[in-house]
Amino acid sequence: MVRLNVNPTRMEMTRLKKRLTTATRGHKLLKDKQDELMRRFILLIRQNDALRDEVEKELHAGMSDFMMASAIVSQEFIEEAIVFPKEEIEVSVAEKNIMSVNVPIMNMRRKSEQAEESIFPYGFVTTTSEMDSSIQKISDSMPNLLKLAEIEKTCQLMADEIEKTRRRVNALEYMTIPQLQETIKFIAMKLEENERSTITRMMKVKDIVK
Amino acid sequence: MDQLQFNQMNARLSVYETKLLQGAKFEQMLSATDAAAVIRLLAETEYGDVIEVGASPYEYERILEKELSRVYKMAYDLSPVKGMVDIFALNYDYHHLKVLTKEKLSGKDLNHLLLPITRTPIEQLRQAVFSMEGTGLDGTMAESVAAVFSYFEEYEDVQSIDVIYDRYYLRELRELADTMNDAGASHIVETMIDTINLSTLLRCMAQKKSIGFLNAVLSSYGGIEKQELIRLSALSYEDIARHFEASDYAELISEAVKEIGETGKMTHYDLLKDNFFMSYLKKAKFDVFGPRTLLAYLYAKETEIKNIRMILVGKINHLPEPFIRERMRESYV
Repeated sequence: MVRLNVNPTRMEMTRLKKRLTTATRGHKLLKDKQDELMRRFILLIRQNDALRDEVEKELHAGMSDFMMASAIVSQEFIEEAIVFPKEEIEVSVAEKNIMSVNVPIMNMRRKSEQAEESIFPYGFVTTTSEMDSSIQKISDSMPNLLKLAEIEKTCQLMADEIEKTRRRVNALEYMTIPQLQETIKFIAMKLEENERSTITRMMKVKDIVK
Repeated sequence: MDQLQFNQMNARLSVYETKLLQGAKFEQMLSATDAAAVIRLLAETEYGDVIEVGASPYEYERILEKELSRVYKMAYDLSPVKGMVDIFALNYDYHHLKVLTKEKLSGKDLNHLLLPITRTPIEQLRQAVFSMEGTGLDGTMAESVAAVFSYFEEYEDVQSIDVIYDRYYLRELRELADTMNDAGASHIVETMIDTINLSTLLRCMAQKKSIGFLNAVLSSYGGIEKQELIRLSALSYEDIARHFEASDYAELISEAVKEIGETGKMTHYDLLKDNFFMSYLKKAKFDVFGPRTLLAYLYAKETEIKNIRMILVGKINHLPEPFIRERMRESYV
């Protein structure tokens, strides 16, 4: 391990000892933070996994109905029916702090919910019931889809933070703390050596004076 | 209407009918390994003229569109009474009106949604829509454009665009059939409107729509009274099926109700509706006089294209053969 390039003085040793205390405390705190982040991250990942399965199932069902609708009615008629959507969704994004990570909280507001309007933007003559079923399923999956976006973003941000914290913990554990310990040990040895040589010198002088 | 004026057209149509795809060809297409093989099979038929060498199966809409456009052009050339072809072509005019209206209101470029099949030139429709008053169009269609813009200006309801145009479309369809003064054409149009109304009623019930909404979306130009349909919306599906037990629509409604009860869907209804029409129009196969043969031929072609689209979409999405087969419409030949 590389020793720090410092003067082997008592003052320097005191300063380094202070730094070592701070680093050890910091290491413990960061280690605790990393453990807690990991715990929450694992919970979120499990939640994310279950939600993703659910959303994928919902979207798959919606898309299957849409595919069947497009097998009966021509592409132009289908696209005309849905090209000008009726549904408007407002998403407001707030922030929440989890272990110093700012994660988003998405709140969705449907325009049609207020007006008790229909979600279907088309008429009944050129469309089929499969189209209704498809639009309904995709529309129903929206809250879960947004929840999934929120959780996935949270997981992503937490994963970045865990990575950063892990790097800091490792830097403290394997670099800073051992360096400080070695430098302190070196200064202590150097000071002891100086003390011993002073004593020897004193004894020699005393002999000459006698 | 003079029934004899269609004699020459009927003789020619009986030749064209022999070119419609037969059951054996559909069987070959169903057993094809993939969509590209279906296109290759199609290229051996009448569709060969509209399939370019090396055409991708994903371009199936362009191919079907070209063929349908060719058929409508030929029908207009053949028919001594253009109004007869209009009965089927009117749908495309209203589709264009919807597209152009949405283009104007949303500011998006929707030119790719316009089809080559049209009764009224696109530019005339565009001018009518952009004036917001139906300028350049006549009667019902002009009225529909003005009604859509005036309603949208007040309520800004996107669904109302289609709903209003649909209402005017069914009205004009009925007016068109009445001017033809032909019992067969009137019966076909009445049946068309009735089946659309019944489908709308069942779909609205599934969506738990109010009576006010039903009043807006149901057409008063069918054989079944609009008020009767609205009254029926308060009943259960089973009671509705019982109500139509003695009518021509008995099987159609009972099957739809059965499906709703079992799966909550009414996928089968669209299939039954198409087959119901086909079995009625098949009776026109041996007509020598009158315009029913033309209507039957146009419907047969529309159904054939629907079946080809079903097979191609099925093959592209790797759907199992029985799944595609059970959704295919009855063919004319």
